Amino acid sequence: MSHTMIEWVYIGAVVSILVWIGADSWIVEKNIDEIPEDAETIKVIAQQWFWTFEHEDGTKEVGELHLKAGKAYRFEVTSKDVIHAFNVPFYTAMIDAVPGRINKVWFVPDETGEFLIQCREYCGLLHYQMRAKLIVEA
Amino acid sequence: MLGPLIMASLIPIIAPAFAQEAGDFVNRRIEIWALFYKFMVAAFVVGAAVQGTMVYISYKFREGKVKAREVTR
Repeated sequence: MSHTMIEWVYIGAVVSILVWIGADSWIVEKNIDEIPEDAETIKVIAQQWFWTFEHEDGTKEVGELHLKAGKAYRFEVTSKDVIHAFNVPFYTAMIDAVPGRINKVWFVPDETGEFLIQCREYCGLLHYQMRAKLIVEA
Repeated sequence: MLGPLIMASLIPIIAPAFAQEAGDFVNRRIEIWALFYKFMVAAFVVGAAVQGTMVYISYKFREGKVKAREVTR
């Protein structure tokens, strides 16, 4: 095989794979960005160094969040002081909590149990302890 | 060779036509991890293609030089 041929095969294969993976990730991103209309809104307020959650009916929870399995939730995330990041590793949800701004993320908890909520943006001395508990009930 | 890869890139573009209806949600966890594994496959395949091409070109170059073979003897 000539060098030119090798180079074209090489370029073709690599570009095809990158196009495929690029198209696929664009579709996935589009799908997970669309928040279902019937999703229940939870306001998430971050501050050094704890989380406050406010349900649609006005009930507030601190350091714990109770959700129902199989239901869609939209999280409106903001911060009262510095930049934090709201992260639920099990449900692959993460978004920055920025003062003066409301960022949105959503997911459907499909498994019952207790899961970790953790700050993922260094926010000061006790950042590593800025955790909360997500409790998903049937 | 490019045909299947082009098809593979087009299928996900038409797939949303069959996607989410009321009460039928995208499972974010599964979607994201599936994408991650696809990225891993792509990364390893691209790595193998690059590495394979390098080895092939070096081998052909070396075989084309009689002197180089004599030196290693």
